This record gives sequence, structure tokens and C-alpha cells, in this order.
Amino acid sequence: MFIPLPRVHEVVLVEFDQHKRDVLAERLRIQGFSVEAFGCATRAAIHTLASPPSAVVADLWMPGVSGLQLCRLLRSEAATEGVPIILRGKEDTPKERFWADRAGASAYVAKGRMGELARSLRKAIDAAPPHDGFFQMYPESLDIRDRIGRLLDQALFESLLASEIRALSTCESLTRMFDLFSQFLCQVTTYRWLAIATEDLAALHTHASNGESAELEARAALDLPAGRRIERLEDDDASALPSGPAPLVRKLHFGAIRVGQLAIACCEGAVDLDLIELVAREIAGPMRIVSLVQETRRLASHDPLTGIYNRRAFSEAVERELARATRFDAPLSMLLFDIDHFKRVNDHYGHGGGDQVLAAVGEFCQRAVRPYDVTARWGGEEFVIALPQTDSDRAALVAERIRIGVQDLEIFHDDGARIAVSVSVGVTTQRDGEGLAPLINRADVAMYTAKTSGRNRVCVDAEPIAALVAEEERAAG
Amino acid sequence: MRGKVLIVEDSTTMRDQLRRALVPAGYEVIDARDGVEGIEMVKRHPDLVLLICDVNMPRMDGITMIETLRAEGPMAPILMLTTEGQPELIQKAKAAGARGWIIKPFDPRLLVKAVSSLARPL
Repeated sequence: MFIPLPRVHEVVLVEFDQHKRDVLAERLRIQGFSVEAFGCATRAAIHTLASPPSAVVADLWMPGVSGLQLCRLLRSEAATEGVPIILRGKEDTPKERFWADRAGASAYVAKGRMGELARSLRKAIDAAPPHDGFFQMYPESLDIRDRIGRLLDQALFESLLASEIRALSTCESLTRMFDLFSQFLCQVTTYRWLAIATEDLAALHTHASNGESAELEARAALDLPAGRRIERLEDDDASALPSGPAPLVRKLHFGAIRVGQLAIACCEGAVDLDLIELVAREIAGPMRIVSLVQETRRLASHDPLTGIYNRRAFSEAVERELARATRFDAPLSMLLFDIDHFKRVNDHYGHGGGDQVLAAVGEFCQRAVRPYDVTARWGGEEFVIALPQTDSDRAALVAERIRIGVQDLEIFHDDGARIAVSVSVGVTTQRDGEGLAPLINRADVAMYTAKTSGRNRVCVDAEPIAALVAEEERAAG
Repeated sequence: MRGKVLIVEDSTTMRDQLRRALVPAGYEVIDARDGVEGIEMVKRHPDLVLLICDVNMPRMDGITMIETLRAEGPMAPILMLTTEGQPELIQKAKAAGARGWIIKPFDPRLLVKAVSSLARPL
């Protein structure tokens, strides 16, 4: 009958102190291990690579090459990447355990705990995949420290790269972040084009000479629908080569949240998969942070119902415009208007109908003015528009256009009925460097005049009429 | 005799060194000067017990050669013998079925030991 002998596990032991080494080797042999003992990590590494043992036991800190360095080296080499490594430390502190773990050790055992060491060894050996016999034989002359040095350089490079990318999370917008990201990426690799797509932004960096073809490629790679706009930025750092290897596409995840996609078309001979994986892993967090901050800022400055500026954001923007208008001696006009009989709309169609009207009017105003005009919901059913570089006459024309536009708006309630609305508009223009408050007051008076004189009309700088109204009020009061 | 070993190596000096180490140990040694020749030799000699292969060679490098051979079916164990040491290359060779990676200059005694432990039994 054939009885298989229990397999003897070979253990490479690395311990600087000769006496301790002999004692430990002997105790491990008593436990049934076959032991090859070394006083320095360099020789142990050469031996381990040339004939991979069942496990390695090494001192965490040793003169010359430390156990941590030995561990990282063996983990990075094809012959020993799966060999269990147990690191022994004197201090048994969380920090030592942390370092051992991060270096890739299978276990950390405090010195002097023979029982625990033997148990950890058996456990790690049992858990390890069977070794395939692959070995690396190095000449004695080869300095193993060169390989460790290169490994450290690589780790440092990767951690620098990661921290540079993480620093992008302070950008104010995704567009800006993508711009800085591409500037950074072209320092470490060469690409023909680079593209990202998130819910809010699709952008492409490409050399000016092949923008069209790069856009086609990027659209296909990111699977963008035909109608989706992609912001195309000319990038002098991108390669002008018209073609190259197929683009690499990576989905970007931040925890369980899908942040977007990254696509990069590398140049021939510059496809560095590890680099792209690292970059894709690191950029997701900053992208999530920047888009959250952007969203928070938008919520703080925009009216959620109409999507246009709220009062606070309007005030900030217009104070700046007023200062500029004063400095350049340019006219700035202001329209303040109110939806006529808004209470009736609410009463008749419910608050849903009222909201519909507000959203439609807000959206219309935004469309009806120039990009540098500032539109906001002033409050309730009141809207305000600041028109830089616009005098009173032209402002009156804009106001009239808006009044007619609102009157013609086709807003349909859920029941199919058209909700017809109109606005009363007050118009005024900045005088002698005045600030926002007096301007708003005057526009308010003009609007009041428009209201009291029959609604659905425009009143410009109603000072004399305002005085009249005041007199009427006094008479009535 | 302990079987036929193929050496794929572009340096004449290195081929001679290998021959001097392996012939006294009882191996029959045949050689090729690059990957293309190597593939031809492998096809012509199905009775190889081992293949020793350099990495940097003209026409076809050693890794491309073993990847090509592997795609065509099972073959004799492969030992890489080179001055190269980049981890990525070593990983590639391992993935392509190489059994060991020896960096030059080699110790003839250790080389014979590695060869005899890897070579297919006759």
C-alpha cells in the first residue's frame, strides 16, 4: 500500500542576529518545517526567487534591506508573487502591523511568539495557491537593491500621480477640472485625444488638426447619443497624429456611485494600461466632489422652480455690473415685473398651475434676453432683469418685447385649458453711480404705476406718475 | 544521452557557453539564431526535452516566439536566458508558459541543475 508522506514545507528564514536565527531555525525544524536560514535579505531574496519555498519568514526591520522591502520585492516578482510571507516585529504596534500589511505580508507576528508563528505559517501555506514552479535565477553580481530601488521609484511615482489628481477636487467647475486634468496627463503620457462624459458635461480635448475625426471617435467610444453636445477644446499638448491604437474607455466609480466615463486615445507605443487604470481610479473622487460642489452652488444661487438666478445671486451679479457701468460711464437699465392677477391663476388652476406659469415665464425671460443680461426671480410672482449697456429707450423696447412675449406664451394646464397671463413692467435706468437698492425702488414704483394704470403694460421711469399716485393715495387715505 | 535541448540565442559566445555547460552533462544541443529560426527548429524537432531562449533577438524576440509556439499547442518546457530583468517582461514570459527566467551571466552548475529539473524525461 502507498502511504504518501506528509509534505515537508520549506521555509526561508531571514534574521539578522545569528544566535536568534539559529534558535528560531531549530524551533521551526522541531515544528516540522525544513528551514533555509539567511542573515541578510539580499541573499535570501536571490535564493527565494531561484527556488521559491513554501513560505518566507523575515524580520520587519533589518540593517541593509529591510523585511518590508524584501516583502514588496517578492510580491512584485513573477516567481514569488504568491509565496506566503510572514513578517516579525519587535514592537507589536498597530503601525508595524499596518506597514506589514501594506507591504503585502500574509501575516504579522510579534517576536517571541513561537506558537503563533507556527500557526500563522501553516495557515498561510494552506491558504496559498500551489506554486507553479516558475523561478528567477539571478547572478550573484546582480544588486537586488537596484530592483528594490526601482520598485520604490515606481511606488513614489504612482502616489505622486494619485495626489496630483486628487488635488483637482478643489476646482470650481468640471470644465476647469477636465482642463487641468488634461494638462497634467500630457506630462505623463502622450495622447491623440482625451474625453470625459458625466451627466452634466461631455468634453473632448484634441489637437486642432483633427477635431472632427476625434469627435467622431470619442462619441463612439463614450457611446454618446447623437443629440448630446460635446464641448470640444483645442489642445496643443495632444498629438496631431490622425490615427493610433483603439481608444481605452474606463467607467468611473466613486464607491457605488457611477460618476461618468473617461476615454483616452493613446499614441502608438504609448499605451500604458497601469497608468490609465490608476488615473481612472483616482479621477472619479475629485469628479464627484467637484460636481457636488457645483450642484450645491447652483442650488444656492438659482431658483429651483424657474431655473434662473435667485434674489441673492442676482444682487451679487448686478452690484458688480453697476460698479462696471459707473466706471465705464455706460448706461444700465432694470426691468421689474409682476404677473398680473397671479392670485387668480393660483385660485383657478391650483398651485400646480401657478408653478407652471412661473416656470414658463422664467424660462421665457432667460431666452428673450442677451447672454450677459441678468435675469432672476425677485420673489413671489416678481421677476427682474438687469440690462448692462442699455439706455432707457432700448430698455423700454426690451420690456415691451417681454410683455408681448408673455402675453403670447402658450401655457397649457393639465386639463388642456390654456392659461393666459400678462405682466406689468416697470423700467428704470441707473443714475450717477447709484447702487441696486434705489434702482429697484424706482423700478418698483414704475411697475406699481403700470399696475394701477390698467396692467399688461410698460411704464418707464415713473417718477412724475409716482408722485401723482402718492397724491392720490394721500387723498384716498 | 539525456535528450535534445534547443538553444535560441543570437550571440555566438553565449551559444558556445551553453553548449560547454550542457554537452558534458549529457544533453544533445541544437541551436537557432532568432525567434523565426527557433519556431522552425521546434517544428522540425518534436522530441525536444527543453527550450532555452533569449529575449532580445533580431527578426523575432523570444517572448513573441514562445507566445506563438504556445498558441500552436503543447511543447517542451521553456527556460528564458537573458540580460533583461523588467518585471513586466518576466510576467509576460510566465503567462506565455515559460518555467523560469535566468539572468546572464549564468553559473553553469546552477544552469545544469535547472535544466535537469525542468527537462522532459525521455
